[in-house]
Amino acid sequence: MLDTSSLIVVVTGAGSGIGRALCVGLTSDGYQVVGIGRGGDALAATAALCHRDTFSWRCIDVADSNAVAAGFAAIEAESGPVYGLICGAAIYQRRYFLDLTAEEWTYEILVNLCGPAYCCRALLPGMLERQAGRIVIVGSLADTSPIPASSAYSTSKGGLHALVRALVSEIDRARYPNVLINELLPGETRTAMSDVGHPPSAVYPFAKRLIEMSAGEPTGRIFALDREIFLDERLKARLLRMLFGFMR
Amino acid sequence: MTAWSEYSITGAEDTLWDVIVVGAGLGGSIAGWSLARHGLKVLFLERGGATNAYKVPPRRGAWRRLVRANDSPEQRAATGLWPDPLRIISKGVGRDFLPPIGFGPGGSSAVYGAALERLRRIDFAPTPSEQRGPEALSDGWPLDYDAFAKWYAAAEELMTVAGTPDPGDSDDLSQLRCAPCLSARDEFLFRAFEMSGLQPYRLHVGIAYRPGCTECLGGLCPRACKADGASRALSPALTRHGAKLVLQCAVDRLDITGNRIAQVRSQTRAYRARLVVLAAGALTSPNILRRSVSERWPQGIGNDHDLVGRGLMFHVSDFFVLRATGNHSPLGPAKTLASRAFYDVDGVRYGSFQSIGRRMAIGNVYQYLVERWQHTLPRVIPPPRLLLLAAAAAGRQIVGDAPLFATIVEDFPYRFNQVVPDASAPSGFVIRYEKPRELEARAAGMRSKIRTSLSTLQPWFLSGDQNLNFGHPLGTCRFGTAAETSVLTPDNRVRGIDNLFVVDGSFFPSSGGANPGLTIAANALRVSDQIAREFAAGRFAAGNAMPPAADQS
Repeated sequence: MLDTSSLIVVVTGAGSGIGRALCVGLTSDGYQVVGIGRGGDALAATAALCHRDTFSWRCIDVADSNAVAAGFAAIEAESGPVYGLICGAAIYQRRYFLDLTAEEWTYEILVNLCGPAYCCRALLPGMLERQAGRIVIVGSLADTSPIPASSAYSTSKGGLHALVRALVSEIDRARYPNVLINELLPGETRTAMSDVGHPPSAVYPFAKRLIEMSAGEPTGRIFALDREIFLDERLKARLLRMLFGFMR
Repeated sequence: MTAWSEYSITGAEDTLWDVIVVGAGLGGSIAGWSLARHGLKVLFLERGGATNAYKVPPRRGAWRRLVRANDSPEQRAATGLWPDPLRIISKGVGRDFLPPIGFGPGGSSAVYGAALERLRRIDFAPTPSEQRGPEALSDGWPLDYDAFAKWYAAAEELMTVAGTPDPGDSDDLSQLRCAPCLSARDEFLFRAFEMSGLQPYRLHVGIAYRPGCTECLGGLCPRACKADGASRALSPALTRHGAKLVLQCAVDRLDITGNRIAQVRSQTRAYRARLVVLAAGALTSPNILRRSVSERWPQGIGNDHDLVGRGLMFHVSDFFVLRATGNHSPLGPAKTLASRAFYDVDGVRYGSFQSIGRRMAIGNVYQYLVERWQHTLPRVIPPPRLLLLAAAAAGRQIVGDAPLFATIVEDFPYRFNQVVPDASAPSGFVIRYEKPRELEARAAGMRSKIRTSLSTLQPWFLSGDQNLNFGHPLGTCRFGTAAETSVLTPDNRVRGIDNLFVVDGSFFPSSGGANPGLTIAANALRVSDQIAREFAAGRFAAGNAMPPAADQS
């Protein structure tokens, strides 16, 4: 069993919704959690829900690459090497494309797509050097058939699928089997973004599973809670997978 | 990685260049870079084309790739590998094989390389004749270790060499950077080597170890993390110092006027320069010289004493794996350990051994088995590919992730070992090589020394007989002080020609017991410094050499 007490997990978007629920769950399982968010009040509210000794927070806007680089360096200097990263921060403006200014549209992309990239850029070198790290990117299938008023959101979420697979393509599995990057699709969850779906706390066990995977387990894959999603899979590959599921 | 074709130019024939560098391998790239920094107008002529380092993960067709005999010449060239088979004639029997030699920008250093080790002081002095046998050529260097040491230091600086000094060599004052921590398994092996008295040290490697580094051994590095001729010299020469490049330009011959090279010929094209640096590699440079005949040079340039192409040396490199007992994690840098404990044992040159830094893949074992089958059995019996593949898979399973090592045993120069132009051979020349008895004896001695001293680690030799390292061809244009025994002067100038220098591996009068890369790099720096000074003195007319420009922009 993994000794979680000394492992540091950084959670972005910790001030609300799924991010907050993950902080609560991780601290109750003994992880050292550093919550990242834009507003101190919201983060303080999360802290009130968490185990006091094992949760700390820091105000960083993930859309600001310099702030992410400096803030994450400060976290590693203060608390020690980061083992896990959960990119939960996202915004969803729910406005028509033609009603958004270019700046508003870009900011949504910056938070949802560039934010996770900046966080990975800051933490991956250390994870590779230490031969240990887990990255979970909270994603969505909003890109597959976008609904109205989701242009920037669905574009950014589509980009995340590519980001995860692109990062994995640059990491030699044989050499770094203990650095795993996966995408987690929480599905419809009752947060500020949605009035329907399961409660945020229901997502935690599946995020925990991805954080606690052992070396050599899947990387660069997409999990919709408990089951795996295969994007643009060819029919032949699908048949082979169904026949030899264990071989993948 | 530099997009080579972006810097490849046409119409280079219309310009009179200060310097033409024939071959953009390790030696040529560094010489050209150094001269371009002095403000000279440099043109590189490279036989290979643009290479592509980006490997597509083998998702589909992996099986087909495994059992397919070999990649096409075009595919090999695109990944920086020598495209065509080489023909070697030994004991009257010829065979063709694909050599482990690089092709294109950076040459072998871009594909293999990385091990950048100094030779030892004893390598610069002539080997006493009772050790090298009566038939071998005299192998003294025309300069000593102390004179060369500053060029070694400069090359180590340029190639960002990491490692630790050899504890058994008080002359090893290498300029080394810190290498990343050893894996638990290599730590265990390091201590085992120490207890066996092997005086291990961290192999000197030109790797920057960027985050996520996989050391790219056996393939091009896409991140300029591996220090090779392309990443450390050719690329800055083109991007910062105004040098130019012509790709897919195989040089056929050099035209002479008086005692000067007037032009460099490639098929119908002719390039003009005040000075020519020949660096086409030890297998190709002598052929270019021999094809360059004139009335004064009926046997080719610098070939008055029938020495051009002769004295060819390869090291013997036997591969072996070690068993690390206990459950130590192998994760970490792979090109790590080296020992020179047997470099010179009571006057006998056995050489060194070092980590290969590559995992044994089923494909490698399979290729090896197919090759052995083809060489030991008559041609008419085709290799049973499926059976050999199964055997390879089984072998891979037994050996597992066991660390791979290779020996480097010094080869002495002989007149009869040579490279000869031959238009009928697939690469345009043949290698005539007879393995000397004394080399076989020393290689076998090296094996038994390793077996004895590392018996607890159960060394298991994978190569059947003394395996020639065709990746280390050396010595085909020897430098020296006497005209009868050397092609080049101590300045690496071709004897009798004012403006022709050779800076690749062909200048070695002896091969030493270490990887030749760093010595080629250091020598290229030494020779180009001399050339720049001669330009500054006006020797080549209209010379305008300046103090070298800063490399960092």
